[in-house]
Amino acid sequence: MWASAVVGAVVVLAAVLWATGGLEQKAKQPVKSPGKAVDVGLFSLTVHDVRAGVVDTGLGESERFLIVRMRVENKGRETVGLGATGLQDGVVARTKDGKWVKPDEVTGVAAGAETSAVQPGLPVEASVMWKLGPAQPPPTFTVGLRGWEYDHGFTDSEYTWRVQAEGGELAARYTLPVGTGTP
Amino acid sequence: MNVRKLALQGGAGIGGTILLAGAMWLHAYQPKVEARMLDPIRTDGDVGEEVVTPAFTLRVDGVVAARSLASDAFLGDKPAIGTDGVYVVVRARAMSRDEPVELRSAVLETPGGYTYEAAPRPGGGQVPGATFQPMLWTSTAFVFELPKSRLAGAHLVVGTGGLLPQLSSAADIDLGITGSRADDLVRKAPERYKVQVGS
Repeated sequence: MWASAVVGAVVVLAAVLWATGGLEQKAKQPVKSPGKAVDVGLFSLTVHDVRAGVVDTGLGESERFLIVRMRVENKGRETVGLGATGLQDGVVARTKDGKWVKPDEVTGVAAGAETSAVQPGLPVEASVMWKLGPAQPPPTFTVGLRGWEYDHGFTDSEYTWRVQAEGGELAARYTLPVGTGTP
Repeated sequence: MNVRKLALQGGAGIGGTILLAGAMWLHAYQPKVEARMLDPIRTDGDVGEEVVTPAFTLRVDGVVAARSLASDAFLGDKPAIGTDGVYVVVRARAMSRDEPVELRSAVLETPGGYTYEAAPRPGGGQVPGATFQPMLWTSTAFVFELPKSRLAGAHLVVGTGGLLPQLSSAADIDLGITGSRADDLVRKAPERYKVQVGS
């Protein structure tokens, strides 16, 4: 009698779990609105807008990009680059088929002049860019900001800021209308 | 009897599990140490002093603060490269000891554990990275950008750097910037400072 009740309860629980997607926690992707600073650990980021624009890539050539503009404040204690191993690793955009992709280029301006790094205590206006190619810009663009943690790696003991790229978790997610213009 | 045996076995099982979990936690635990075992070995010094490391000798000649840097573009009158903080230009001379070396790593360390990397702005008239020869003094300059409030107490740390700087050499120079000296440097900081010329 008892045994059959327990087996019945387990079967019902398993069915409910299967139907609701299991015990695994759903990746958190809090939706935020632009203009407000978001703390992602290493940086405080304020996303302004998204626009499709033409960027001079040097030697008289230019390329079309989808550009997300944001204010970047370095909350750490060391200079952090805007490119690879820096801000570029912590921003992703969602493609049509649901994949998250890293930006192709990141440029920055501080006090009216170009910069490639963010110093602690000196904010930078960054343009985070994805190549658009000949395609028409989409009406909206979904961007995610990943969190950073000051931690050691799985195999090394060095403490450093590491981007949290596993599990699809994001510190913030924006779906913004795409404007036009140049950065 | 059965109950006692069950309790004993249960207790042993729980105790064993706790010990195993503790061992795994200890295995994964990494103490939070800022310095790494194979960090460069530093030699301390002051401005105007020849700081002799096993790989090179460095002498800091002076420190200048600037509100903006002159652009190094050849053509046209490019605008100055400004900052919300202040640029610090450290002028130095260096020579290597036994073989040619490059000083690839230069940072400004300020109180509170803040580290600012050299060469912050592209096109800001940076002095190109020189190769220092044995017994030959070569002039160079390191440019940093930092908030005005972080200038006091700054140290210049210069080393041979590289991907694996295992126990390599580094010079740690106290720039002698007290609170009043920092205020003075910021107050007298020129605009459009030309790093390569020194004015």
